[in-house]
Amino acid sequence: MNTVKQNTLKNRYGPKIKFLISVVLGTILALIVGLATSSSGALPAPKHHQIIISGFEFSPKELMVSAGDRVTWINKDIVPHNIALNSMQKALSPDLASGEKFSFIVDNSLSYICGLHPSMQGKLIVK
Amino acid sequence: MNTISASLKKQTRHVIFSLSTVVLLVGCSGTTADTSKKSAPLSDANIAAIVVGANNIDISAADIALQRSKNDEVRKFALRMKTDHKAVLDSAVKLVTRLGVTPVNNNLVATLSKQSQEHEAKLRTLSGRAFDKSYIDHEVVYHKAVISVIEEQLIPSAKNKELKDTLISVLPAFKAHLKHSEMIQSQI
Repeated sequence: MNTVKQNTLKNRYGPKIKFLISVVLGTILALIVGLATSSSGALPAPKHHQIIISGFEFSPKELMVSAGDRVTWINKDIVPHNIALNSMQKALSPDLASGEKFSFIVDNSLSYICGLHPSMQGKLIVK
Repeated sequence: MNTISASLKKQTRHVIFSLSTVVLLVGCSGTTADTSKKSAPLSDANIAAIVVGANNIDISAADIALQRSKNDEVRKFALRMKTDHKAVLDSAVKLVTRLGVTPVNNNLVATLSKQSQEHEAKLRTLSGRAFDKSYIDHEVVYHKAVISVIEEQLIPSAKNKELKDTLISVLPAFKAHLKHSEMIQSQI
């Protein structure tokens, strides 16, 4: 009689118990992983951003990035452009012919221009 | 194709004088509105000739600057004008050749071409700061005039869509050159 009752309870609540155990274990696992990540200080993976050079403009002109992100400029104009630090007039990139690209890992916020056409200005802002 | 290219080369020199005239008109009047009132309606063939000529004018002036100026900024600017306008010129010639448009000058050419010749002749007699100032001052006026002509006459008049799109796409180059020339002008 007791055995029959136990089997009935088991059949009735078995799936719910299993589900609850899964949820509890999943939560604990997520907490462990989260704690491990935060305690080790790991940063999100670096992102890759693109800036299009077209019509003698950088697009976007201002870009928010994280330190360590990669930025790639692509020249879609028919004339050459380059990337130069605004403060020093120093070229970061070689002259980029039409269709050429240049990539740069960003450490700090910076203002830049096209050294060949100084009216073209852009800014990278590190969050 | 060769015939069209040869025709372009032959007529380009005439157009150089034509656009210089427009520049001088704008420079003298201090306004760009007069140029649109004085000009006859432009065909695509006229526009093609003006675009080719406009670029050749600046290439020609840049060559003189590269021969005569000793100022680094002026020389860099001249080299930029030569490189950029050559790229725009090549693109324009490629387009009109493909479209089968043979450039045709308008009436301004014969009347006022002399003024452009005089400007280049004047540049060839100058040196040092006087040369740099004359060259850059003219570049400022020239680019203002060309921008005005493109915006007020060429783009509205162009009938072929590709030609119109090309005119729209070259405007930023002329505007960037104007700002660049004004930057140098303020330093001379």
